Amino acid sequence: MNNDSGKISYKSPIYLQLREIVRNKIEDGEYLPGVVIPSENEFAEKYGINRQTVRTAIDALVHEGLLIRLQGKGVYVSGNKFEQNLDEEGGFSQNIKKKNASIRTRQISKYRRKADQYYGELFSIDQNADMFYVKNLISANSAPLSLEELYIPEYLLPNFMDSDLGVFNIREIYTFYGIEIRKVVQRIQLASLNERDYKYLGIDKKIGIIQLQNICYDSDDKVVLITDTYTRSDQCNFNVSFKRDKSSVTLELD
Amino acid sequence: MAAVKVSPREIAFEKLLFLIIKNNYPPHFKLPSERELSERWGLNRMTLRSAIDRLISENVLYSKGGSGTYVAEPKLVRDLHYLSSLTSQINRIDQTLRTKFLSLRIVESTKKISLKLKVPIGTPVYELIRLRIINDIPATLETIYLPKQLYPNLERFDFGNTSLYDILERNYGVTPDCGQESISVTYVTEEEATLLEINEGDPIFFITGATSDVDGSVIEYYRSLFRNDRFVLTTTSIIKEQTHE
Repeated sequence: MNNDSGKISYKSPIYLQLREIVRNKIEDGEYLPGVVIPSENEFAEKYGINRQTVRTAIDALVHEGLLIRLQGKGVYVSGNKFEQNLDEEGGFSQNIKKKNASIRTRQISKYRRKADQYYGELFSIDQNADMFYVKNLISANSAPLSLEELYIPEYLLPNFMDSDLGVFNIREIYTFYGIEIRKVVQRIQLASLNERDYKYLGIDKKIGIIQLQNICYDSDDKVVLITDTYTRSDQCNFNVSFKRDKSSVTLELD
Repeated sequence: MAAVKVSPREIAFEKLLFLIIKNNYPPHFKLPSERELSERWGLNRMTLRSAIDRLISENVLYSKGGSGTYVAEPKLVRDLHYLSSLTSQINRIDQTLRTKFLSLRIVESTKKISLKLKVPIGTPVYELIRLRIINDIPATLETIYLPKQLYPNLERFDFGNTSLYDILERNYGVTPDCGQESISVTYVTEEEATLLEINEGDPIFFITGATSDVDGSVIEYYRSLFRNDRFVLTTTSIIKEQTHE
């Protein structure tokens, strides 16, 4: 900005974002869940933009899960997405909330394997030591929501093969064995999956996948559990609360 | 119990990760050739290739037009539990941050903005749009809504060179203290793709949130795009000792 204040005070936005216009109309309740939105032609005419631009904007919201495209019928507004809170105990899948949501866990595989070098390093165990691997498909209201992978060192839960994750969650099982998880470091990234995993989730690779990795430590700061959860971003949002980082205050003021 | 065989692709994936962490390869370090690695590990070239592709898609590695595979720069860490301005964060890790001011205008508060800013619908609010560039690569595209009443004459400031929080703190006496945000994924439009130097339709983190002052009043509502190849979002939770019954 230059010193010509007043002249540039009210800059108009540099571009028209149809995606945001439609998002606002959904958020403001102008377009209601279950109701069809205007056609691509109508949008193109109303905003004076080409159909390809309209298509990209609508596709984005379809992939986001805010709209549903029904072949031959048009584009409809979908209901609310699931909300997962990342504040509570490092955001395990049990924290997914939505009115009347029923969460189900189906085991895809569960086996014992060698830790090998990589997991041996992460768990500070010998590479020849055993660990357990579990892969679950988590569904909400009978629709696939996420894939969950668990990595558990054998020495901690020697009888793990007999435990039923359909009855108890992994945190409860750890507690039964007297292992207290005292710290969870969570990393959130976008991931891509292999074809089989997209199939489990019932989507193609156009839909973003949010990977949530939890590294769980015991009171001795030793890694005792690693979980990777791959969630369909069109089904679930993640919420978090934050507060001022006291350590940053001094840096900001110097 | 019979040991189940881990898939060769998973073995290759883990071996690559271990290779990188064990040797502490720095960013832009060139990996040994695919042929050398597949021979060393007794793995099929195709299998190794598919594991490398996965690590490229996860931005751990990158390939440079046929010349080989390299270790990617570590991602910027955004700690979700702590509020701190990107300016202070970047200064701390010795990177350069540039802000490109894109627009500032006054809009009428929509229902959503009103809900977040706790102002009546139709209230005039500033809409500030800016692009943040870290180490010469675009990183975030931010749209921030600020109640006009709280910030008279906001137009006079230079948003290209000063941190927004600095402007708010020094001139309007507000101190960002806490807030809540929601993380989802959207797909960039042509204009956003051009600004962020990525491809149209690419997925990107879409983070929206509201920040409050120490006295509890809402001072901003933001809707920001964070390039997912440049950021990892993290939290650290300390769990209190469980009380036994």
